[in-house]
Amino acid sequence: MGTEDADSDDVRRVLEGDLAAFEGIVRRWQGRLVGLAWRFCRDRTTAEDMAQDAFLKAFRSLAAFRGDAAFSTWLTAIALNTYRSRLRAEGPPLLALDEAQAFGVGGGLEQALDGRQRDERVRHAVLTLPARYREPILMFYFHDMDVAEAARTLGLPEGTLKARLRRGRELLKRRCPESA
Amino acid sequence: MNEDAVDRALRSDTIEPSSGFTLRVMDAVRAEAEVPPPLRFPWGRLGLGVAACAALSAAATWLAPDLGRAWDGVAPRLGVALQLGQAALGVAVALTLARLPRLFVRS
Repeated sequence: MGTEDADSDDVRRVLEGDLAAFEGIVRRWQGRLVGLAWRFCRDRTTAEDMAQDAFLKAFRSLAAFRGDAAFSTWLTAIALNTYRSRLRAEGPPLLALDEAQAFGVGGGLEQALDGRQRDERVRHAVLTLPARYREPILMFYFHDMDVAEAARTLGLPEGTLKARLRRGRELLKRRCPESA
Repeated sequence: MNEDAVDRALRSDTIEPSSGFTLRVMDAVRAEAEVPPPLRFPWGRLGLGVAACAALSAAATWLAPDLGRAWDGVAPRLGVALQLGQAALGVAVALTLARLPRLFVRS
């Protein structure tokens, strides 16, 4: 059974009253939802908490799932809205002091940073972008650089998404030039 | 920063859920399912109420000329009606005052 078939089957069973069928949905999608939340907050506990909220919202809204879009797109859109609301309410994630200090520090420091630290700095820099550029970048890479799927999840035309990706990358270059 | 650096940093950026995550979510889902659904807004009753108000307004508009004529007949008797109302109110107050001490004795 494919993932879409399994999802449809589980949704039908949950709506018929079989609560345990929702566990199949959680098991299939927990990695994706926790992974997406992690990209937004970079804290494991918060990410799992946010993903749990997203699953609960999906559970409450399950009757509204019509199957017009793929279940994955529907669920990811719910997760994205949940994470947005959470971050709006709680503010942007706090960066660790040493890594925050690394922003804008040039000279010989970057030579001491290994690739992993550099990657982490780029990820933190993405979180400092305005939401209109941050979300397209996060969703683009979350969907393995699939522009169409990222645009569907965000509810944006593909052209708009590409323009925001380009602008977001330009901002990243300005904010984190030493990572080149 | 070149695009390769961004690609490398952001493509592989993920974590695995902890082992108890599924159980925690399912516990929360079961707790959610046990909560009775919120009461639905009584749209049907609201509709009936609005329809009844509309019908009364229409009837009042339609009957207004007749009511005006009827009022001409009632108006002279209204003074008497007011006096009767005041008398009835006075009797009611007197009876209440007469019963008041008994209420205090019982309590």
